[in-house]
Amino acid sequence: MQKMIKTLRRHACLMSLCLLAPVVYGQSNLTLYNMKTIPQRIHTNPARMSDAKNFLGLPAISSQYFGFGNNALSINSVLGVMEPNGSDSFTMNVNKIGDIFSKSNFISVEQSFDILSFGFRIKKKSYFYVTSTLSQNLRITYPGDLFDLITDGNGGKNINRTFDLAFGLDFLQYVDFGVGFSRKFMDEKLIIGARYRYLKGLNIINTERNLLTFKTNPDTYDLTVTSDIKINASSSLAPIDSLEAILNQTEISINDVLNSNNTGYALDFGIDYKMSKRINLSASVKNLGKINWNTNTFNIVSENPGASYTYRGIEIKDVFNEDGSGFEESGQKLADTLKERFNLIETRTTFATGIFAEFYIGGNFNFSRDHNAGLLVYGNFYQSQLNPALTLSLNSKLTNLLAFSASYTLMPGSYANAGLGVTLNGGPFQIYVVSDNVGGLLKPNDVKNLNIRAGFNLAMQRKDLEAKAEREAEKAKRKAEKKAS
Amino acid sequence: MIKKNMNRNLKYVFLITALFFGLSGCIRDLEESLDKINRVSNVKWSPEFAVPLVSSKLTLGDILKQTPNAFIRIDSDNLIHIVYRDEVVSLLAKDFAKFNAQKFSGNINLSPMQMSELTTNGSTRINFSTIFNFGIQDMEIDSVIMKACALATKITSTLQHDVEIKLSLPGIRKDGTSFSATFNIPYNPGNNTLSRNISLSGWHFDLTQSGDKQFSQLLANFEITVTEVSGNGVSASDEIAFNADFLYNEYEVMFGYVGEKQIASSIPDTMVFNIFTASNTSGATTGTFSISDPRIKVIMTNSYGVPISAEIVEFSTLSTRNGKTQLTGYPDPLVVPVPSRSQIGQTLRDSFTLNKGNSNISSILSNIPDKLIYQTGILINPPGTTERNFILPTSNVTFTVDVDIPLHGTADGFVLEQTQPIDLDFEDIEELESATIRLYTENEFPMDVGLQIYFVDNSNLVLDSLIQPYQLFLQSPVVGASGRIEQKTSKTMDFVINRARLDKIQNTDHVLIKGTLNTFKPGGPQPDVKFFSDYGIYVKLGVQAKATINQKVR
Repeated sequence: MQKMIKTLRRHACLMSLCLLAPVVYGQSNLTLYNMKTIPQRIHTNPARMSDAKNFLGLPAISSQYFGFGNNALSINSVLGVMEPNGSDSFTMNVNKIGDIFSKSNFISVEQSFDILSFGFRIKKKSYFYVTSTLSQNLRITYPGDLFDLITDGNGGKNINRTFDLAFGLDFLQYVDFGVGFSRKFMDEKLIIGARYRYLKGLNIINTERNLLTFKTNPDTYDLTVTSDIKINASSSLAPIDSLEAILNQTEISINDVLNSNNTGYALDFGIDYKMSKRINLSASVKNLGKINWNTNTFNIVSENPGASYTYRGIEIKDVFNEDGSGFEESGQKLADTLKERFNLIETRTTFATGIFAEFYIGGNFNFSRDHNAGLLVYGNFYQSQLNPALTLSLNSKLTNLLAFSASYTLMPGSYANAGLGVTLNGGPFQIYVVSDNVGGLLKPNDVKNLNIRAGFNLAMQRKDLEAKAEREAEKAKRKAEKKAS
Repeated sequence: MIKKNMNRNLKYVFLITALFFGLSGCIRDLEESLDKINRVSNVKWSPEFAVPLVSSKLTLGDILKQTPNAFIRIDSDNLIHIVYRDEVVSLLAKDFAKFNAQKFSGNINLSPMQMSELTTNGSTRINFSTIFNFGIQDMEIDSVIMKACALATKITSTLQHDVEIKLSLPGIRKDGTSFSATFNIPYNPGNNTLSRNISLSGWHFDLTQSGDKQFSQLLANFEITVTEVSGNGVSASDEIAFNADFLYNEYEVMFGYVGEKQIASSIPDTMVFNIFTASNTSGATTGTFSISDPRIKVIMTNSYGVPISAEIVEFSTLSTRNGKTQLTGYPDPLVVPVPSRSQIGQTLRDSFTLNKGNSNISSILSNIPDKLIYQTGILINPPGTTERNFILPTSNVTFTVDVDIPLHGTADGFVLEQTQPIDLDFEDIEELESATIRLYTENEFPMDVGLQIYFVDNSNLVLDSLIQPYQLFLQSPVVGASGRIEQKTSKTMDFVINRARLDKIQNTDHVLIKGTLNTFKPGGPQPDVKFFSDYGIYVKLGVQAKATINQKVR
């Protein structure tokens, strides 16, 4: 177990260094949401259980998830700045680089695996399950305005524009221990589920405030910079005195997890409603909770929150002094003023963070018992900003051996995300692979997101359960028809 | 069953085929993308940046380069005065009343009686006196207090006996004691010379009591004792030679009579009024100017204890437009105060002031003078005076001339022009597409200022002008009844420079800078205006430039 954690950690660190940083954004699972053969779909909606009466996720291998995402860069977006200038060559138009980026951009990497999970049905209406997952997410946000500023300048059309130049760095690593329960109501038309998770925070870098703006006065060309920064960090593993120290920690032991005083909780809620034979509606909300970071905290804070400074030009009297040292002294004076105005100080105060709340709202049209089409609306919140996604899917259980889902997801700035999920079942043994973006294999030029979840489960009594459910449904149907006649 | 299996197999075949073609397409897309990137031959970038360059509030104190000879004075009403100051300094006393080294020497021989006494009694005594003529040519020195002086003595004896010499200088005293020194020269075959330096710094030299002239003479007494060295003989040719050199001779104060002497410079001094003339310009060629109450104050100082006769030899102005004009109203002769003996070391001062009430200074300044010319004559011990003098090395006579121009008056129609050769080389800014230089001013000075820069080719053809259309650079605020401005004026001017203009002026040979200036003109009679110390100009300068960079990369 520890070895796996260590390996996982090393992966994350390597990726961080490559700035392919770990991702939170598309906590994809968008294809997984409708794959009823996979027990891990309880991660998306606590009311949507798998078709197995009992399941056991084997430690460390039942669910491995890796995701990389960004909302701006793709090969095609880079190619978009190339303009043909003749028969055989191109001109790179630097001014078009800004068009690649949105107002706020991110690069994110997410990695998680289930340490342990199992669940079982209680009688025929209830389901109880236990999960434990190690998750780590890294997200770097960078401003699109920065590219506009560099490529187009602050003059012309950009004069009087407030450039948002704020960067953000967020890294979260935690282990959760969850217990979940779902129950059917209304003649099994309605399923309500909930999961409580006890959280042990391991490491965090949290950009709480990252205001940095730049504006040029249209009349005088005065340059105004405003800044307000607060970055929190904490580690359960060792005292830290820099953000880099967090990313440099490469090993986590079970004791680190158990001894962590950075604790919290999270609640997940979900419902699934069978509106008719053809239509199912479902919804869930996840990660309602927080982690209190009390151990080895480290904060970087603006000494003057919200401070701004306007550079109006050189003061002639200062610059053109008799000994000719004025220009240098004026520059030093400006540097000192900026340092004093925008000084960052280090503190050690406790803080609390959320764990990226998410919601899913879905609808399924059932062609038959084993085939359906799904529509899913997804959203998460990062720094009070909604990051939505819309997924269309086809979900089929071709045979008892093979089931698959195909999906297509739209996200802001990313319109080519074709997903695929496959499960292979042999008796109680189940192997699965799910990705929300395999389109990259077919259209690599448009790829902005990649993710994959794979694992090995013991999913028992699937066949019996399905047959029984079908029989019971037929029986109920006949009974209803008889009663009606 | 077979058909069902076939259908299922076909599904897989279809799936694998789709995957194969899909992956093929993927590789092809990547190859095309890389190929496109490899075929980039140019990089084009057209940024437009805006930057503030200058932000300054400038008062007159900032604008005018102040020196000890031209500076600003603020009076109690906050009115600004421009003061030009010059000082005419006479010869210092030490320049003409200077002691050279005073060197004295002599030989003393033994008379036959003294030789006999030496051989008979074993010793003999010789008393010898002489006068040192101690002084400076053409001056009568009564006494001197020496600041630095050294007596360098050298005594050589050819006697083969021991010699003791006591030198007394009764005219040289310190703390009630006259100077004396004893020199012992024991017989030493081969070396009977004694040299010694004695400091006389701080000693008082009375040069009146020693001889026949009652000045510049110093009595020296020698008392010589010769003691026989047994076995050695004595001859008439044996002698004692002495040298007494008074060196350095820097005095603190000297009394006597230094003679009749002209101590003023024979060359007139000039004071340049650069308020009226900008450097390297042709000067103000037109316009009128008035100052409400200018003044010239002349301050005289003297530390010579000598009768002085002084006069102003020349006091006039020179202007480009009106030539030379004599100033009137100054006293003639000048009465220079002289310190008494009880005021030794003091500098006495007196002054006189020329103003619009007692001189023609107002009309002279209205002629926009370029410079003030002045010369004095200073004669010490003029004929008819008999007083004895005292001088210090630093004694001198000075005349300090302060021209005080209060910035209270009018100016109208001033035109200043300057021609400046220029070589416009635009090769380094070929990427520049256009630039807008934005000048924002707030003016509190009660004056209008115009500025234009003309770009002229070598055949004097004007190619372009900077400000189009022409407009005032600074607009005067309205001056209220109190004499103060009512509200500052503000103005924004954009100077647009684009590629077409740069092409137009690229053959510029020189630029003609033309400035105009007048004080507040309300339309009716032009009122006097005042420039107060809190007035200033707020200048903001910024530039917005657009460039197009087209760079080949392969």
